[in-house]
Amino acid sequence: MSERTIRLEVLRYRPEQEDEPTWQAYDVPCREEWVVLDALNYVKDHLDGTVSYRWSCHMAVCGSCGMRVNDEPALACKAFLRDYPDHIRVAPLDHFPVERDLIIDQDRFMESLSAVKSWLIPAAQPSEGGEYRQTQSELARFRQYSMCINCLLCYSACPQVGLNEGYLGPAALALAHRYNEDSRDGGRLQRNPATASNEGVWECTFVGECSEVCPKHVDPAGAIQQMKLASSLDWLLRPFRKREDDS
Amino acid sequence: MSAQPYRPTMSAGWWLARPSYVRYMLRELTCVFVGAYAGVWIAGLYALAKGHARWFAFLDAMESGVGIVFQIVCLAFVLYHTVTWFSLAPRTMPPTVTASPGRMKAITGAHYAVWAVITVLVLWLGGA
Amino acid sequence: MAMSNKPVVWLPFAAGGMLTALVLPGVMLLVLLVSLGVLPAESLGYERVRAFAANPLGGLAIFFLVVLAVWHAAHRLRMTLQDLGVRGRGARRVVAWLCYGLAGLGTIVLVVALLSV
Repeated sequence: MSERTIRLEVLRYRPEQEDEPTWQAYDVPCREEWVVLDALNYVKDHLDGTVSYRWSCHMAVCGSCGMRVNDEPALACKAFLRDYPDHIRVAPLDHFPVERDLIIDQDRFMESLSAVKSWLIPAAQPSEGGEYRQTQSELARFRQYSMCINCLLCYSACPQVGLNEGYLGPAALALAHRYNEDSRDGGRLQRNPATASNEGVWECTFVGECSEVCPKHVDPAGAIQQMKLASSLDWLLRPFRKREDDS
Repeated sequence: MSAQPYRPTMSAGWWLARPSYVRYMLRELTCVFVGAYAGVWIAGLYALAKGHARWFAFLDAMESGVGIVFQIVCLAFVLYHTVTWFSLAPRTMPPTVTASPGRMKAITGAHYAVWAVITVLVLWLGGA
Repeated sequence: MAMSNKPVVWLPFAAGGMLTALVLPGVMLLVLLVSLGVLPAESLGYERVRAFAANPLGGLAIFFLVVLAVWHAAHRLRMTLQDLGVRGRGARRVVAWLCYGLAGLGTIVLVVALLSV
């Protein structure tokens, strides 16, 4: 049962007592197998109950514990202490308003999800048995993009999210692509006013950091480039479509 | 929602904070050299249209010290453009095509193969 | 939000990026080697180049390579200037006009040159 003392510095923000975030350090006795989330939970349980952060599953599927660990967007439950030095700084995800400590205001993302209509818009009703039928290769076209856990690490990594307030962002666009590529879906043209707008795929300059930090290997950057091509084709063919097909 | 959420700002030097951002910015700045080289050649073709003397004046400028340095610097940046473009190309294709890292490497490799053929062709036909 | 007209500049950017990546290094190397004297100077002799540019296929090849290179560079420069700090809508519009305007100017000069070669 080996222990290691980690100096965990947390970027605190308490709106009722300060205008700007400030660092606060805690010395945490850690077990070898711990992740950053365990160290944070130790702080909250034993050292400072006021530290605020989101977490849930502790196994990298819920997407709640996204934060910057030593300036890299990461899931706190997936950041193993053995991969870090003795001094670890945790800060909230970049490019979002900070409500308190490590808790960010996610409204921008929720609005983006609505804007891109990130739900199935069926192309046709299911077959007589009541199920949609889909082959393995049809599934393969979009499965990767369905792995998104909405953790927002990609938003923190993407400079265009920071530079452009209205930009829909990597995850929302990748999710739109997930539905556009789903053989059961017929809503691409309905999504275009959002995804193919100036605040959609066209704000992306393929920096690629979003895909680098994604814990689920979704590759939103790739999704967006594929959508640029698809949108361009839709744009070229627009004069030949019936008016009512485009929303 | 909190009464006063803290809104972080982004400085104009954001891209200096991380090596991957610096590489991105270098990649984007290759456009300056692509544009400059193309611009120089537009001037060259204009000189060509004006006749012998203007054409040779253009060639003399390209052969000067400044001209050589300009060409080498532009070539370096254009090669960086090529390398980055080919490495990103597979990402624009659907996941069914790029099914594995091996496939992605093959796609990039195919780009290099075409590039090699074109380069040899240009040098051979041009230099003959 | 409405569908953007960005494809009108993005498609040339993408096509130009691919074309310049594939063809430009070879051309640049050729010119450099001639400039350095490694390849014979006659390779870029007046009559040889003029004949190539005046030839309909040769002229078209030159046209497409240079025009796509220029419009690729213009769009990328516009987006990069935004990355480097141009944030306001008005400023961004000015930057766009300058970049594409420059490309347009280059295109016109090129067309004039190729037609009078």
